[in-house]
Amino acid sequence: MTPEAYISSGILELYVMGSLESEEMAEVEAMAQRHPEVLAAINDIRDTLGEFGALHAQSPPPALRSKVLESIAAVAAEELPVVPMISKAEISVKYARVAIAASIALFLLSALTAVNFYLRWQEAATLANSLLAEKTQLAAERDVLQARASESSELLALIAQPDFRLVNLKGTEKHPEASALVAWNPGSAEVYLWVNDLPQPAADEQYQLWAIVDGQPQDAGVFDLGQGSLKMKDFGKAQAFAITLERKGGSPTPNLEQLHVIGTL
Amino acid sequence: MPPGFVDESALVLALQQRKEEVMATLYDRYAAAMYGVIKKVVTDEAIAEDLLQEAFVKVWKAGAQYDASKGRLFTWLINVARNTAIDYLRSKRHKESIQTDELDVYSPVTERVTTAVDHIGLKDVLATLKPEQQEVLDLLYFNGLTQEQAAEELGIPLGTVKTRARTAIQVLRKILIDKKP
Repeated sequence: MTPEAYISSGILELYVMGSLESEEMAEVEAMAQRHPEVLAAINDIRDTLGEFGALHAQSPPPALRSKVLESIAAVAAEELPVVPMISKAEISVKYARVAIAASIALFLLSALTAVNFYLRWQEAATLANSLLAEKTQLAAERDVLQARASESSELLALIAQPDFRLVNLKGTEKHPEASALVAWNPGSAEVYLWVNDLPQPAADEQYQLWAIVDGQPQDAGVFDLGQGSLKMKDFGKAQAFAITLERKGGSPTPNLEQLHVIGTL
Repeated sequence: MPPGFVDESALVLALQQRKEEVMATLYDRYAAAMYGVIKKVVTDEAIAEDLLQEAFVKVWKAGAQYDASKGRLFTWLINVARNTAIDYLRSKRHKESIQTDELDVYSPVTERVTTAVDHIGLKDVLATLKPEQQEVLDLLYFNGLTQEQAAEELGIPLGTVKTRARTAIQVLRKILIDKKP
């Protein structure tokens, strides 16, 4: 049967008025579920009959109102211990859900924060390490610069004294790159040496400074490289200074084959 | 009427939320319609009063389950009232049938179909219905007979009960629903 034929059969009217057997009622309900137009027709009939019933309206006795409301209040009061318990349970379930959700959220948040802090800490540690290395390097560089600066200032201080004479020792033909500087004070006999450039000696060799006094080379002391200004032996008199490479500890006479630099006054 | 309870949906919401004060509003609005239907079904005033009380308690108890998609609140309330009265009538008939063991437990049709036409609106409406339509409507709607009982009572086939019921309600629909503003 089509929904239209079903609607016009009159069965829905009987259904609404409760005049059908339970089997037919179930059939109507199944039709209403399948066909929205059947459901709409049922509601339409309900409204019509409702309006029709209301046409018979009669005021109940005034005393009935409070009686009805009292009986409802009594029923509602009986419900009270049940209703709040149910709602409390619902609330507690609700709150438990909220609490679980909140703690999960809190856990995730703290985990994220921890990871974030860990990453930042690692970053900071790396940065600190590199800064430390940089600082060490800078300190070393600073020490070198300070040493050089003090050398320079010492040299300047010496040079600045009017009594000092500077002797530029120049490289020989064999060692054109080599150079050194001697500052000599004939009055006080002090001799200072600065090596600018000399080849690195072998382990068993050492450089030796000679003062040429009246044509004779005299030992002015052995020295190692990389020491800045060196205080050498005193000479009140000299015409030239020279450096030779000797065996370790120095020699009584210079090995002229190994003459590196020489400078005359 | 409290200002919050202006329309049906507000009443429905209050009912679903178990707000007891809504019952006073429902009573003030719908008690007369509900009482009228009950009275029409059972005729006895004292019984009608008890049944109205019962109907309102049912409304309160079932209020949380009321679903607005199943129809208007007003229709539902009238239905609760009518069903309460019909249930009473049927159980009374059932008891009587056991006590008397009589097959015909209904009072004669002529006695039963006595519509109190003291309401002008109702009089107008009933005037548009054919007597046989009124008869079927009274038996089914106000006396709660099944279609078989009605057919037997009126001596007409089942199909005729259906078509009469349908045409009666279609006439009512035209007057009561379609012509409503």
